[in-house]
Amino acid sequence: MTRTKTAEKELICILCPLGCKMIVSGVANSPEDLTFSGQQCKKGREYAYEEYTNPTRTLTSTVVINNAPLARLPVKTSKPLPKKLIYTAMEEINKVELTAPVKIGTVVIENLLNTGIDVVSTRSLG
Amino acid sequence: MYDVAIIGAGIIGTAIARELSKYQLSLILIEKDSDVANGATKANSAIVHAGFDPEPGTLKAKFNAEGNQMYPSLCKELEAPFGQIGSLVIAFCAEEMKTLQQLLARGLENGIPGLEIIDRPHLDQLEPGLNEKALGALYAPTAGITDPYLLAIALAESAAANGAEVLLNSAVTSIAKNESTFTISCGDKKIEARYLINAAGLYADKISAMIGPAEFTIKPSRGEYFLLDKGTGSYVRHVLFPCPTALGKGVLVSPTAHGNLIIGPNAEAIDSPEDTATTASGLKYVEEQAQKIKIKLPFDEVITTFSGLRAKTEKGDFIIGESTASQGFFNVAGIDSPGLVAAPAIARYVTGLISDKAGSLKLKDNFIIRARSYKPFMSLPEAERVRMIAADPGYGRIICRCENITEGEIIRAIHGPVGARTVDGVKKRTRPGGGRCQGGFCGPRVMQILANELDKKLPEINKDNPGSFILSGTTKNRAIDPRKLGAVGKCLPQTAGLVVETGAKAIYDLLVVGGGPAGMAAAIAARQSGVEDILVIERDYELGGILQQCIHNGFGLHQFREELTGPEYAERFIDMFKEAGICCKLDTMVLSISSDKKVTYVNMIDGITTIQARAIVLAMGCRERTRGAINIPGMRPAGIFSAGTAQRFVNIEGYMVGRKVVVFGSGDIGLIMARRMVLEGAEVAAVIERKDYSDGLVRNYVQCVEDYGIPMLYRHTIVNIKGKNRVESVTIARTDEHKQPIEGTFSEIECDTILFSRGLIPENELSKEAGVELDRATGGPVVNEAMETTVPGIFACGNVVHVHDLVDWVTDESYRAGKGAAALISGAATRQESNSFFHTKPLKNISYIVPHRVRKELIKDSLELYMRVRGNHENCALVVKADQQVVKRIKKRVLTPGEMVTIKLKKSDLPEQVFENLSVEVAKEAG
Repeated sequence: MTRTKTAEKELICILCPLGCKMIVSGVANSPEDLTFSGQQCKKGREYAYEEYTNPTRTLTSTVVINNAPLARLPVKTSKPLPKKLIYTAMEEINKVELTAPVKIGTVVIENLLNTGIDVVSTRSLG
Repeated sequence: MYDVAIIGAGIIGTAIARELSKYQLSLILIEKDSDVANGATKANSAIVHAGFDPEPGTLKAKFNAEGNQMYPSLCKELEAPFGQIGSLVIAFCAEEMKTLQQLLARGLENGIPGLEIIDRPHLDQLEPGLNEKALGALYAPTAGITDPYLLAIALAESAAANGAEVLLNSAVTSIAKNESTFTISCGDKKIEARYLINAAGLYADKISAMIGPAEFTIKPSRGEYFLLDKGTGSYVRHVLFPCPTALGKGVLVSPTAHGNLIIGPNAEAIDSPEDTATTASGLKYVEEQAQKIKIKLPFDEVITTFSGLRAKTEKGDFIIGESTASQGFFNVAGIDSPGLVAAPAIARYVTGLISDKAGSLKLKDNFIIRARSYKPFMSLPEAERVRMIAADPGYGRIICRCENITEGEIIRAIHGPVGARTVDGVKKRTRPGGGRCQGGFCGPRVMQILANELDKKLPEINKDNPGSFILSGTTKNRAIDPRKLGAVGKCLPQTAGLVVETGAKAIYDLLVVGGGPAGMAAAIAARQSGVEDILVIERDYELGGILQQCIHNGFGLHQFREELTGPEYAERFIDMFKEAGICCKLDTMVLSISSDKKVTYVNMIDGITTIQARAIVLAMGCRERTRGAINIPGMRPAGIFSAGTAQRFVNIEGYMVGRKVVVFGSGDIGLIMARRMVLEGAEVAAVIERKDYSDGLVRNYVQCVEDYGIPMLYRHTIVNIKGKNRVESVTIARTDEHKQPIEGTFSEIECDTILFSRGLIPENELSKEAGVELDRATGGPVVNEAMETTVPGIFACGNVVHVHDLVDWVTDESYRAGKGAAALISGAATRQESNSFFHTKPLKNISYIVPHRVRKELIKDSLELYMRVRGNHENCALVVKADQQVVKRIKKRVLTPGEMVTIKLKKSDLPEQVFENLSVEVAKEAG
């Protein structure tokens, strides 16, 4: 016997200023059976599907840099990161220590948490 | 062993110390706080009263009259500001006219010169624009204004230069009377002195009680004030009082010595000598009272509110003399108004008392009148400024942009005989942070200078007394040694790859003020349109402006079709700028722009230089609305930041501004900073928004607030801020439909930090000086379709014109400004004041439209109108009309004030015939 888990989640669409409140319900491990309500357009449904099944965020932060005009260098993830990894990713980012000069786009963490996503510098410094 | 110890370093203690330091005496001045002039002296009306008010025969009457006469020469020799502008007590009814007669009689008895009762016509000549109910006034020509804390500091530093010791951070804990001396304990520290002067202000009763039975009780009286922006001082010419009542002199309106307008105080008896909170009711009372004197006071230009305490006694008069309980112990207590004006006369009198006691005192023959120079650098004659910059380039570097205060002045204040050790100490001595941005821009720089000069780390720099820390540590838990940052710890210009000239030519084709995204784009567009001779002036040490601290993503979707962070967007433009070889000057401040396009700037290398431009682009950006400007009552401890200042500390400098944060206002910067604080390990207790919706983008609400489970409190406001040194809590309340707090809904949130995200204000002080007409709705210049202002040849773009939601639109607008300037320089565009000129007109639910005026025949293919709406609208339409004719109707699912709206009109959309106004309004759309 397979266990089915029913789920219901409220989401706010970020695609336009309307900010539709959408409700996603259905079976968590069966994406094709999800039902959506509250959205006013097709794109909203697509967003809700993504946001429900695999929410991701671009994470931006800073890292320590030595021998530079400033003590911190801004960085970002090269691609949106699974949302649930944000805090663990911050721990990794907080460990980084660089020495200037650093060019914009330099990879400062490769393959962050085995996601295939890098952390790259977002400015040149030093 | 000291001859004389003085407890309390306010205006009284410092004046006495300085007077005694003229004689061969060993002196010590003991102060519980981290700085001199930190109690009543720091927060009062700053009036040098004429002296008609005190009851004849009192000490107040005597010392007021004497002190007033001493002020002109005292301030002159100490280089403290003093303006003998005269005062007017205004009568609004027949009863009050009688009061004027009584005051006049009193004044004559007190020996006050020049008093005169004047009628309304004469009053109108002296002080135009008073409330029409005014009948007449008592004119006192000898009244004046000064800067009380600068005066007290100059007095303390003169005393110190003459050998007096100044002991700060030392609260007196007990006093023991020996046979002929006193032993004063400040905790473990013991000080012995023959004579003791109690000038402890609000604590004078406690000091007095240390040597015997209580002789008097101090009852603190609190007065609240508004301080308005520089320039508003010219709204009135004199110190304006209502008729005095039993409660005091009433709410006055006066210019300050620095050109601000001060309005206050109320008078409220309070229990604690530490309760310097402002209150909503007190400030409201002050505002109402002031409007009785003059109706049109510019309360929209308030930069801060504050309160000060007066050391009142039940007796009402000053208490000055040897204690009955102990020989050699002198009380100088109960010094409320007119204590400031009386101070020099009291000091002279007390010196006489000491002389009587100690036998005649011998004058020093090498008395140092003034320890150092106190004149603001910018007030000096040009030749002297040039000489000073040549000797010390620090005088060529502006740190405080609002008041034009130089690094040289700040360093001079730190190394004075009683040098500044705190951010407030620097502010009292030289005024950075005393201007309209309230330290938002200069705060981090002032801290850096203090750290460098005192060889400390930034988090060790306090706002004021111990415990008033500004930074709670560093990000990443990794210490920062400012010395290792080398040149940039001092923020020296980052010029690699840029064309930077020393000196300047006499004339430039195009001068761009500001090297942020707007200024860079304007310069790049002008260069692409063939302008060779361009100079960009940037006040910061690098290009890029505020984008450099906006490390989040969301920029560039329209310009580059990809999502960039702020620094990435900035770097793309910096690269284009470098590639184009455009000349710039960094770390350079424009001091003035004239309507004939003469620009004066200052920097460390060129000193003060004036150049002529054929065209100018204004791209100075905007500043944040501060806590002071929006009038949130409560205490003024450390831990209150505008969101952008906090963003700079966290993202660029690498410091944490606190551990438990409340964000007030739901603008995008506030929401984004809420997330940043959480990611850096702080707790965000709440985001508080007065309305029932967020000012920020939906995306920022979801990804910054909801993602992190931060409580979002809609329809709430902050009604009080608590904490003496550092923020301890905020009191919040629900708001009604007018965004006002509802009684009985108050609750408290513990926090150590408050971030204000309550809107941005275009920075147009230079524009005003150039004679550019401003739009009240945007706060920025009125512009035409080429972004040219009302002054021919002066263009403007970016947030200096109107606050944009996305930098991408700033870039578009700035390209237009750059092209417009290029066309003007090449002679292609001449100003056409023909009937082909039409105005844009914001109608129903549109708050503004940019551009304001359009030259129809100069529209090439299309015209873009930028605007913001008022309120939220769903299923509506934007209706564009040329006079009465509808030219376009655009359906909109949703319109919100947070998003800028762009309407693109084809040239063919506009009617052929001449029309006057092109209006836009929000209309309901059926279905």
